Amino acid sequence: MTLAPDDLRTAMNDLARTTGPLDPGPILRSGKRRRTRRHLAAAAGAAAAIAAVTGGIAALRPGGDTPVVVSDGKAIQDLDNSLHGLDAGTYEFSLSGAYLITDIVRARVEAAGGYDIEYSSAMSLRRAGTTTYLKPSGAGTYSGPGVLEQLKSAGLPQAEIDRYATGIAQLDGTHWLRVDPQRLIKAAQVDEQSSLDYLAPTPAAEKPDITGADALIAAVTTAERTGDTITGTLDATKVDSKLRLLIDEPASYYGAPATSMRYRATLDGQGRLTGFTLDLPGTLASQAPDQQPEAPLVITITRYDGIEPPEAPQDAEPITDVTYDLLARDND
Amino acid sequence: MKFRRARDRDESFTAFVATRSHRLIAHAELLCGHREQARDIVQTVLVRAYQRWSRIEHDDPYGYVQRSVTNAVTDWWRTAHQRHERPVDVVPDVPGRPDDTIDDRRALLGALDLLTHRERAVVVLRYFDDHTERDVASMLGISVGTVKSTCHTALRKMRIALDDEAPSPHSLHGPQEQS
Repeated sequence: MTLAPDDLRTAMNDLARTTGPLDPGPILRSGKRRRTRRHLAAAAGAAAAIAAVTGGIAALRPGGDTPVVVSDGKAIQDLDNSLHGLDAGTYEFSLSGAYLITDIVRARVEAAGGYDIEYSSAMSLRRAGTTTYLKPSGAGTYSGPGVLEQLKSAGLPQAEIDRYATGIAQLDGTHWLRVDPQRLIKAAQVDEQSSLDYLAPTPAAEKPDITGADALIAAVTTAERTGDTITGTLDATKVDSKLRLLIDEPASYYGAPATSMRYRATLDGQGRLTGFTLDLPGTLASQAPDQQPEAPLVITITRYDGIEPPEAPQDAEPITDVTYDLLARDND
Repeated sequence: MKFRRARDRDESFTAFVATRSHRLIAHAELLCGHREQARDIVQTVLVRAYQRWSRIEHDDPYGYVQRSVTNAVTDWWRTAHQRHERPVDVVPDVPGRPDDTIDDRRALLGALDLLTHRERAVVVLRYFDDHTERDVASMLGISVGTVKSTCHTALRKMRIALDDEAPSPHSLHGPQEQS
């Protein structure tokens, strides 16, 4: 047979016609995430990033110190006061639906003695006393069976292969590792995709509340209380994007509803916050026709009392230098 | 006003992905020979393109992204070679395609597989993207004469390969259409 240029054109265009497009929604979100990460990395250097990670950035209430309150003037004050339980630094909570934070299945905070944060990815971060421990998720770039074989086939010296083998083994999800928190932060700042990019802030003496509830409550614009439930709206554009709770530039993503997102808070008998649910707008400004509405952001405080400080995990081993390097890019 | 511009940018970007990404994936697949790898490459390139979308959306965004995809496939060739990898997947992602389409695709990709990277790039840029010989020369950093001779050699190789295949009634024939 002959192959004329037009035959080739036709065949190639036939191939294009049988190729499905990509879903724009996830790509747009990935693009925004990447831009947010780059902004975070560039913003005022590492010190500012560390401050953000440790939750040291306060969100400002819209319109300064005089929030707009409708229906119930006392409700917003009750919301502010509900944070005192979290500020005391002893609580247990879960978190889901935050924009750039992996869902937290259970986090136990006893600020003086430490914390234990378990993520839905199966990664855990724990501080017991003055020592911090990490248990990697066991998933990601280096979890595949052929990784070491690839290194061997690349012709690396045996000593290097052994070094990588140790690091890769430490990421398999069965080891607790003794880590330097500052080096974890540096690994997360490497401009690569890392499981560390999506960790929550860790509690600090000056900021024991890591739930993010304070930033959301600070952005509340309307509140109405019925029993132990407070409902109303908040202005998402006033929530600091460095906290990674909501998408950067929410008005560009959600449109006008970004400034009046509906929330529902619940309090316990002592007026302490037990839950905060933020409904993300169902219709997005940039929504593809087949895109599903986003899941709400949900913070649930399950316990304030009887929290014991976490204990050091048995058989924890020191993390190696190469493991930090692998962690910096384990989500590519 | 700032938000309005940002929303326009996002809408322009999502419209571009919805309407043009299939052709970029085909471009990448023709270059690298693997559809899943092609989808990954195009997705990565688009995420990066979003960072500068406001600067490129009004100035041939398809050309910009397509050049980025070409470069990304070149990088993939290089790193795959360093890793001694050769992916073996051919995973159809469009259910319900007629068998003759799959045969055509396999025949086409099989013939392209026989080409060198440069030959493959020249053929795809010339006959899929319809770039002029001068444009292809500029993109690949080679002379127009080299484009001509490379194209001639590549087509001869592909003819021989397709002659060796038992042709299906539809093999590499059909109405010419830009999708």
